[in-house]
Amino acid sequence: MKKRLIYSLFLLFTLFTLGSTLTILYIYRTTFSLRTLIALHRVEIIRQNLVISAQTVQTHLYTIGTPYDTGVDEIVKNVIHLDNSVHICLGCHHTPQMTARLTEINQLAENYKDALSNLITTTASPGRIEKLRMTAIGIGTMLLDKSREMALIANNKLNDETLDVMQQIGNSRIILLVTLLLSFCIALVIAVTMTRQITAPVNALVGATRHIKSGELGYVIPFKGKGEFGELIDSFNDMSLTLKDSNGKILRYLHNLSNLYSITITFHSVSSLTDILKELSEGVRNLTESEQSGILLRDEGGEFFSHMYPACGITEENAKAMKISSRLMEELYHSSMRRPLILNDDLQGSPTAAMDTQLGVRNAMFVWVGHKGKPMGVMRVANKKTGDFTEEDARLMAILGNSFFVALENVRLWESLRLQMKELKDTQEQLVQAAKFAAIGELASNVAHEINNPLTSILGYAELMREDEDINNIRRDLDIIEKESLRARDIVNSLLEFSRKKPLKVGLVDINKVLESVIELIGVQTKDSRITIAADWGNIPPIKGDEDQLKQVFLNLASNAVFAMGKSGTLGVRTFVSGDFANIQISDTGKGIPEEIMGRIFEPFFTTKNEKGTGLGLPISYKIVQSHNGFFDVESELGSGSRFTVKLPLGDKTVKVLPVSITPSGSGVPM
Amino acid sequence: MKKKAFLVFFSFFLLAAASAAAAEKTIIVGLVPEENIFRLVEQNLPLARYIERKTGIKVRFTVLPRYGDIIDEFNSKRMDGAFFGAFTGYLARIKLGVKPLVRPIGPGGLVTARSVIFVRKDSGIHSLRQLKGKRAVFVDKASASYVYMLYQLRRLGVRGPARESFFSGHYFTGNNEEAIYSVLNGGADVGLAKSRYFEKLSAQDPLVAERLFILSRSRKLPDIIFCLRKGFPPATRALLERTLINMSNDPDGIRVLRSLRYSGFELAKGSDFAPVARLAGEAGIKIPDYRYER
Repeated sequence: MKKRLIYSLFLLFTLFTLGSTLTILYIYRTTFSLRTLIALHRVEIIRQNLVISAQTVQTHLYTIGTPYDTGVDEIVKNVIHLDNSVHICLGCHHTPQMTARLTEINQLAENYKDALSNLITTTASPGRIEKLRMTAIGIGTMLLDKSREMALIANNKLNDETLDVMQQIGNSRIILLVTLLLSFCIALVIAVTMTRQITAPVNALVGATRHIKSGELGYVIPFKGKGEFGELIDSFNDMSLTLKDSNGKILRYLHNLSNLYSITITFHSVSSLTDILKELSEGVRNLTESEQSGILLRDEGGEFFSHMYPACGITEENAKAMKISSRLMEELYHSSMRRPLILNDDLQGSPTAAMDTQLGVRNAMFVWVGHKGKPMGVMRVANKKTGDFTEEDARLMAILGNSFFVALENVRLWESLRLQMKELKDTQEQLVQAAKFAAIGELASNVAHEINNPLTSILGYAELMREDEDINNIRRDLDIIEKESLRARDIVNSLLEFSRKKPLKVGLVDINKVLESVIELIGVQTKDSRITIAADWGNIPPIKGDEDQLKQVFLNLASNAVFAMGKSGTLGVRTFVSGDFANIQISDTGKGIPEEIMGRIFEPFFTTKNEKGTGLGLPISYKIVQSHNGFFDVESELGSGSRFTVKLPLGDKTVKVLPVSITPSGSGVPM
Repeated sequence: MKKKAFLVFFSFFLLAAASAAAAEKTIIVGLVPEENIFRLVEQNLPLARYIERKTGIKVRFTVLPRYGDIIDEFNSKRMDGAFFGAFTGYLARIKLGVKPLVRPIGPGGLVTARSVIFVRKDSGIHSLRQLKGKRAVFVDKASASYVYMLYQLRRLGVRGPARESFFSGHYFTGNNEEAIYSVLNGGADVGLAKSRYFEKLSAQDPLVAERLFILSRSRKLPDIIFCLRKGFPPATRALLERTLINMSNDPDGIRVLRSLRYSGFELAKGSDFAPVARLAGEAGIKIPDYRYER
């Protein structure tokens, strides 16, 4: 194409040069002829001037001495014009014949000047003057004749020359027009040809790029050409095919990666070995398009590598039959430098050669699953009929193998974790119960004398009855004893009720009612103090939860509030609905919580009650509330008191009440 | 210092003003037909163009058919100046009051001329007395050669009406060359002309030298004197004078001078006419009464 372009440009340039040269030549020729013609015209003008001057002088000759005499100066002027004309003519280049004629005219002019000068300046007799006049007229007439003759010759020549020049101009015009048209046509043909030669492959390329853009990778341009465009199109076609191949590879890789990803994801979502084995064998089969796939794992004793089941393309019986000694496998593992064994059409060296033969396997591949430099298993794929295995298959299987091993480890860890969680749950339940007892104990120690009071009354009235004989008095005392006994029994029943270990029971809970029972318990505790209880019950619909656990939370908060206030203060209990939450506020007018410990109040075993507290009350309460999908809000001002707000979701949002567990936490107030 | 600067500026202003005034001026210069009038004009045209180039003053020549016309028509033709011959110049100075400006100088000094009386060799005439009864040809009554003829006739004792009958016939050619050729061609027996033309034709035409000889010649007289009219603007006069005097220092001027066969110009004075005044006096001419018409 480059050569073609150069040749075309050279042709255009040559054409342009030829056209320009021809044009310049003809313009030069024509202008030269025109110049000659103009020069001839100028000469003709000179000749005409000569004739006119001579005629004028001749006229003056006849008027000298008459009233029409215009004076000598006029004659001098015309004669000088005449003389100049002659000399100009003589100064030009002429043929010898013409030069001779001009010389003759020049001589006549000189004679004419002499004759005229004599005539003008002479003063003589009229006869002599007339003779001089006739002489001058005669010379003048001859000069005129000669000049006319010359003018005629020149005029003829001028006519011929003019015709020639006109002919030349006509020819030049035609030639220039033809040259111009020819040049234009040739240039047009070259331009069109070149444009087609350039645009055709370019259009083909553009079309091809559109095909490729629309996803038609591998599109081949049918255009056949030589030169740069041919090479470009060949390269483009190669590129298109390469793109197609690359795209195919990429798609294949993506497919494999997708499979790998899905298999890997599946590995991490299943928790049993059976499921993993099933996913692995199916995944490997999909990845390698194999007929048989499975894995041999080191057994618990470590002596053998046994083929696991489920597997693909192989029966459980055949799978179980594939058992290879660990020693042999380790030798193979190390001798193969941990590289996969790819056995296409040659099963010699297969660790499962006997079974392979039995199963009619043609190709087999083994990919190691190692851990800490030791073979933990080997993945096996085999084909009876279909294609060979490749390094790429091996690489994919190796990746899968690593994921499989991780998944396997995860299953083992999960199993271990499950067991540990069970143990932990049991322990936590015991711990919660212990904390409960501790709280009860704490409560009991505070209310012991309350129980003791009715007992003392009972004992006192019993003593009085023993000494009293009045039956009425005795009856009245018995009533009192009965009343005090009942009172003690209620207190004890309450304690028993609270301390009793009950199974989790999720149901609709009337929060206000639960709080009333807590206040009843706390009322016993605060009976001898100047602590007043201010309750403000809001209209709260029943919420879903465990009544006992919630009661434990509220009792704990109320107990802490009473402790914080000491002997006097106001215990505030308020319920209200805010948004989607039921709000239970328990406040005190105690000393408040210092800021530096605010962040630790929910930590297990953190307490400000010294030996009187266990440090479990608030952490357990927090967990309980959290298990009800609720949360705490704590406000406290040093010296003014604290306010704990429990927010529990209304309606069915309290969906799942889990067993409460306690884990040490360094966090601040959970919100 | 300021005064000097002012003077320089003023001089420059005057010169510029004079040049500007001159630039628009055309002067008319008369030519006495000493030779072929057409050649006379052609010969002097380069000088006119030179003056125009240098001063901006256009020079227009006017040719007079007769010597005396330059006196008669000087004013009517509004001539500003003229190249006068010796006697016409003298006449014009007395009658018109023209003022001489310059006169040419040649390689040998001032250009002068003599008046010559010539005859054919085969005429048998060897003395002026033998001219009696012969046919004569003169240039013009206002030419110095005619005055010289009168001087010689006076010396011969021919005075008054006798002068008219001394020659059997005579006529005036109006120019020197034709006078010479008239004698050569037998149109006259004796002729008078300016020596410069006799020498020129003798050099150009061998027949002139071969067949004619000079019978008598005058003393040296001024050949040409360029005079300006009375009342000619002094500034323009000074400009023309400076231009003509400096021609010999200017390459362009030198070329023009060569075409005229001059070396330059020098200032002319009234006393330059003294030789011709003396000749006229000796010829018995009283200028105021002299009738120079043919």
